[in-house]
Amino acid sequence: MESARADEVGSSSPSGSGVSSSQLTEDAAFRIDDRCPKQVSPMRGGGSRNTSPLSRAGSRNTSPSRQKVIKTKPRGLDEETAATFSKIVHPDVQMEDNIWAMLPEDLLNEILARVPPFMIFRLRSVCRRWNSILQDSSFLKFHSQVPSHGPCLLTFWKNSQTPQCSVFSLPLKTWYRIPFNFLPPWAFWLIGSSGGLVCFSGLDGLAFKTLVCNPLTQTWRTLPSMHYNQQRQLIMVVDRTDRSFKVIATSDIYGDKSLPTEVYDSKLDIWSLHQIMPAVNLCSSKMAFCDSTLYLETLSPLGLMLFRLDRGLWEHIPAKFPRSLLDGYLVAGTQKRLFLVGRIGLYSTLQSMRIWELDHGKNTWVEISRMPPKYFRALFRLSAERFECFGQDNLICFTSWNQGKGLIYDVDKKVWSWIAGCALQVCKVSP
Amino acid sequence: MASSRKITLRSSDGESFEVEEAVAVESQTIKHMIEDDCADNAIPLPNVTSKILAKVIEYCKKHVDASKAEDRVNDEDLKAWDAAFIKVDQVDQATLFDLILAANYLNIKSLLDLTCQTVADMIKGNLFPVRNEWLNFTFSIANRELVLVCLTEWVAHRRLFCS
Repeated sequence: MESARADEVGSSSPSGSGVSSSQLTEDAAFRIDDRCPKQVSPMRGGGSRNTSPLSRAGSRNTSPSRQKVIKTKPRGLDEETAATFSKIVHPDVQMEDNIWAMLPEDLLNEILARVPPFMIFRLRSVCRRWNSILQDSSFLKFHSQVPSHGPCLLTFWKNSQTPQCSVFSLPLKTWYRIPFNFLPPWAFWLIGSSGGLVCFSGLDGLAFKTLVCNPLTQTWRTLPSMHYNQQRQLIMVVDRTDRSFKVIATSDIYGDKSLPTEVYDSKLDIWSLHQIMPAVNLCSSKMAFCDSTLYLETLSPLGLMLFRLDRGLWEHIPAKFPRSLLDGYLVAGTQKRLFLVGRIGLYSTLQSMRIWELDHGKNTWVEISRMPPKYFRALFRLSAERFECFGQDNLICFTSWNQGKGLIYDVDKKVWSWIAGCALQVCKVSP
Repeated sequence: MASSRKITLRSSDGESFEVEEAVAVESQTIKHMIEDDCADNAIPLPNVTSKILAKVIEYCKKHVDASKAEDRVNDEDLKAWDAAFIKVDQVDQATLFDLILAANYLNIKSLLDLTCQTVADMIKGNLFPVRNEWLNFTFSIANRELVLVCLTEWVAHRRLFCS
């Protein structure tokens, strides 16, 4: 582990890593106080060269009579936008089973009402004698009325043999760790998640397999093999009203486009065959699903490739993409909303990250937001920085693993928030 | 202005506590007893031991003092006092348990909130413990498989449809 880390650090920017590791120790110590810590900019000390074209332009345009305040604060995250998310739940005292088992049920409900609903399912690991209460139908009925908890960011960390899962609850602004050692070892690639279920695929020997799991209840189901059981592009979608899920398989990852699209329905537990995707040049294999439709970007013909789930048919709609678009991530929103996310600008100093929304009537992309330049610089120190962009329910998440940071944009509230705290946590104690 | 009448409370183990009426009526149960004119002598509290009653009185006194006009205590400071009052190494789990039962019996909503929230936080800590040890922040991810991220929303169900 130690040596592996040194190698990895070596491959990333040396100055950045040196600063960040000391920065981490400060933060860790600070968090033990259980106060909401200020997000200290990792830029401090290193990389504080101001190469921002905007400030350069600003100083050029400032007339001599107008005094311009020179900011000496380090570039990066300033305090007002700093860590809105940083609380950590501390591993507390061990609950004494013999004491809490005696708690009358009405008081137990008082306590459980204050526990986030998505944790209710794990209560039996806290107090064994509460297990019988959890089976009680009136208790379950009470808790099934509880509304959805809200969006959570899941991070899965594969550290040699021990898989780990950390959950960031956006409503609670807190990191939690979930034991995640119940999956078969072949489940390696994360396909995606929806409605609290997570889909993994992998190779069991030579056989390509897919499973869907619920990290909270620690249950999973391996899906039957597809008709054309090769390693294919997959997407999982949950129907929350129906309490079922579907998995859609399109072309195989090596580009064999002759495969019929297959759809798995959890209610029937079978894969059904549908139309083969027409031959088009895809921008990427990244897909987004909303309004019972699967979307993919196409280069030629330029536009979007759609798979209508109810009809099992593909169609192409021409749509012009913004000029000088460097990447194009499709992110599904609520109902029919579809977003396009990517960088504009070929030259690193003039790049900006923008978000567009599809106007379904006109088949055009309308710009709805831009990442503030200071966040862009904080997230992407180098223009070719590797990042991930994904989202759902009108939230768009950016993660830059070289920086170890996450940034979330709420489309409805038009708010950018940082996810502080490292997603990669070492937990030596197994719960 | 609250009257400065003194009320005597008697714990289950026979100990008497004299408190100001304003403090005693933080408990709705005691308040009703006084209103029903049962408070001529000491009010017996057969469900509360002296140890617990002392702590409850300490809590109520602080909260009554905090709301007095001249000496208005900052909300933040009161919250900090509450946190210190209930801190788990100050109050062992058996005492916390007894405090919940007492707060419920005596019908002191704010104390019930505080104690139940404390237990809820303990539960959370037990379910999903997070250590303050961090991997190197800039562990650069060579391939996507190492750290995988997705966004999800847990929907409450009676039977989650995975099993």
